[in-house]
Amino acid sequence: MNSTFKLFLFAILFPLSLTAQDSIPEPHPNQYVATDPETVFFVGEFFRGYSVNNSSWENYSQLGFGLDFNWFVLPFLTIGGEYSLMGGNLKGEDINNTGAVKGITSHYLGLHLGYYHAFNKEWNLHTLAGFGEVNNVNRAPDSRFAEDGNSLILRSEIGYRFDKTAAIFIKATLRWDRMDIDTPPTLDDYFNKQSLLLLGFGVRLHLQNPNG
Amino acid sequence: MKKALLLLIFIVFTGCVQHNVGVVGSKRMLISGNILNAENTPIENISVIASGAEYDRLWARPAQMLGESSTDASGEFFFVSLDTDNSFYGVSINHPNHQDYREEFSTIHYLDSIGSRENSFELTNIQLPKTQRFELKIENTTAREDTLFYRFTYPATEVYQGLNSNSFDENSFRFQTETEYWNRLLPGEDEITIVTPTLANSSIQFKYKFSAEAVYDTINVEITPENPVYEFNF
Repeated sequence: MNSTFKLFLFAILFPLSLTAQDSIPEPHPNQYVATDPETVFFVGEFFRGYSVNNSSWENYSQLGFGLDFNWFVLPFLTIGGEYSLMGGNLKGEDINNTGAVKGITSHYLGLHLGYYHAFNKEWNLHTLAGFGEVNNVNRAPDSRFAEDGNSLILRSEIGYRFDKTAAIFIKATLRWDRMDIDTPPTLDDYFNKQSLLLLGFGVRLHLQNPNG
Repeated sequence: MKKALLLLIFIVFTGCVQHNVGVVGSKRMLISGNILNAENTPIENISVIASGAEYDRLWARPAQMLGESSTDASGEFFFVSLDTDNSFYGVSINHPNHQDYREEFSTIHYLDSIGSRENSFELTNIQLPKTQRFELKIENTTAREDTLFYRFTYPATEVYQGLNSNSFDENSFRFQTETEYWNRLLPGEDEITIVTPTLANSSIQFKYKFSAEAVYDTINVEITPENPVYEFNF
């Protein structure tokens, strides 16, 4: 088990172990719901990716940003959607394992279901699972070509709220991409099963509904 | 007249449009194999590249590259290549246009036509002959007032083969393994020297005659690294 994967497990499971110890039937009194129920929050984030498994993404740098929308169905339950863009440039000049693909721009568009828990008025946890579609645009020397796939994500975010509206957070996301690339059997996993750990930070904009 | 002018403009316009090697999306190919010398010993650090081309000649320009690698200590290579559907596709061993070209070895291209193809190719036990310099000296030592017609054929150092056995007619010009040179030495010209690369330890056929109507006489010359020069005096 490599260190990246250990780090991911810690980042995902540790916050879950904290939430597993309490059972709050009602929203936490410190959560901003009593007078102005929380309605939605918007997220902007930056992240860096790491290949968890042995896949073709390991040959590329991975930097990206995402835009996220979440709606509180219940005070602790969110549903939402996300768009993220991750760019990857070939590390070095070696195309032995990739073919002549100098760079990849990966678009992810998906939906997710999340659990939101406020530890106190400032600190909170948002854990979510989602699925979506991924579209990778590859840059070859003389052309560009796109490849599609499906994606699953599991994410934990630890946030800090400055007030009712503004918050910052750090996150760890595990993203599994399943592509549909025609390869010989020996290359199938390498190009079609991508596991990425995305570590990042971002800001949230929380909006309330004053009329409840 | 107007139609002819439009047609001419169309031809000029389309001729000026640069051909792009279009890549097939959602496909990766595996190219593997091994390279040996004439003594069946593995050859290390030989470049192997995959490229596309508008015509049946592989130039391997940077924009046409689809994949590349080089042989390891055991002479084996293994790399991922993209595929193209609007261009000829080929795998080149020791391409002269590649930065790691080794002049002491010959070049072999495996060419495939435009269209679809398998997603893996294994090129096993490729024999890559060594090359050497060959020098032909022709000298008129007797001040003879005849025109010398001569031609010689020698093994080419760069050859094409079909990547798929059924993809081409291998008797076509592109797949010839010998190169022919012909010229004449006019009266008053004393000597000429021709230098060309050819395969080491190969045979060169030299033909000559002293009038256009005559039949060529033939001389077979064995070329070795120790004996790279043939002198023809008349």
